[in-house]
Amino acid sequence: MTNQTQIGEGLTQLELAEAIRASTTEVFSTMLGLELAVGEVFVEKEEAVPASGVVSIIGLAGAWVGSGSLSCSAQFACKMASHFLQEEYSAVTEDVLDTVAEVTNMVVGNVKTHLENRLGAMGLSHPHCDLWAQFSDPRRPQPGMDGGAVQLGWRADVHPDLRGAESGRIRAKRAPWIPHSASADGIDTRVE
Amino acid sequence: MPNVLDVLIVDDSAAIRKILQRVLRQTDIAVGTVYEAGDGAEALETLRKQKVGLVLSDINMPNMDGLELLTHLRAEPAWQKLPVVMVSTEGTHAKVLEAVERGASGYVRKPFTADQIKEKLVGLL
Repeated sequence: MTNQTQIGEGLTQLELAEAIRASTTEVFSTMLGLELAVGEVFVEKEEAVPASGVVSIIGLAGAWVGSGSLSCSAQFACKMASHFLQEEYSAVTEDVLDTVAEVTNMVVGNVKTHLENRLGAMGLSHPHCDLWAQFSDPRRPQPGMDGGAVQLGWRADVHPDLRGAESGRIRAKRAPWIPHSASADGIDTRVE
Repeated sequence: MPNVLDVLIVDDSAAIRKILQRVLRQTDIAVGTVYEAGDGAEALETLRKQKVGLVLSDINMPNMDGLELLTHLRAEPAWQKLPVVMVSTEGTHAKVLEAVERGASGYVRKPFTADQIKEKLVGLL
């Protein structure tokens, strides 16, 4: 459950959640012709870990640093590519991985644009996408993402057979080497 | 304006290059050969060998990004008037302004619809 907790620079969890929701639905609708029912955007504590699937991750840099990711079943990744490229895909190929990477780029890129209006200029790395036999446990602390990180996740209902497999998350924290005003530094950005 | 327009699509995503190519073929524009490049450096290499009438370019790419490509293009007299439309997830006013200042002829934000691309090109060409 997200709320009005301040993340920093006047940005609330709720506002960030809405940006994630809007970006995800817009990208899926515009580029894939898939109408998502994005579930509640939530503050992650624990995450169901699929046994296998496609994971795409993209880095954020600037006054805030972090990452955005999209994970889904291989089946749904093929469905995404089939809609995106208007060709039928039944196995995870380079085209499928490229599609998931580009969708991640667009979803996170649009959230980044929203964040930049409040947090200043940010950079986006090139997405990396791969087929994983076993996801790493997202509950494990990520390097550099310990204290002070905001971590929001979301799940999307796409098809009853696929439900629960599609999810994404954005983790971000203020870059420690960027000086901030005393008032901004006074905000506890940790999410419990 | 030649009757057939050769186009260069610059994007590190092969999927996006494929989609843009499909959209181009759906327009009323008589599209000839569509060349592809994965980054700005590859684009310059292609442009030195091939004469095109339109460039569609992403911004965030490895090796040489789209803004740097624009700077190179506008520095060359032969490419100063070449229409270059940026197609990018970068959507801040500052980034769009920077692209225009560097000589972009148009800007389309990702995600895009086919109609948005078509409208931009019709207005430009």
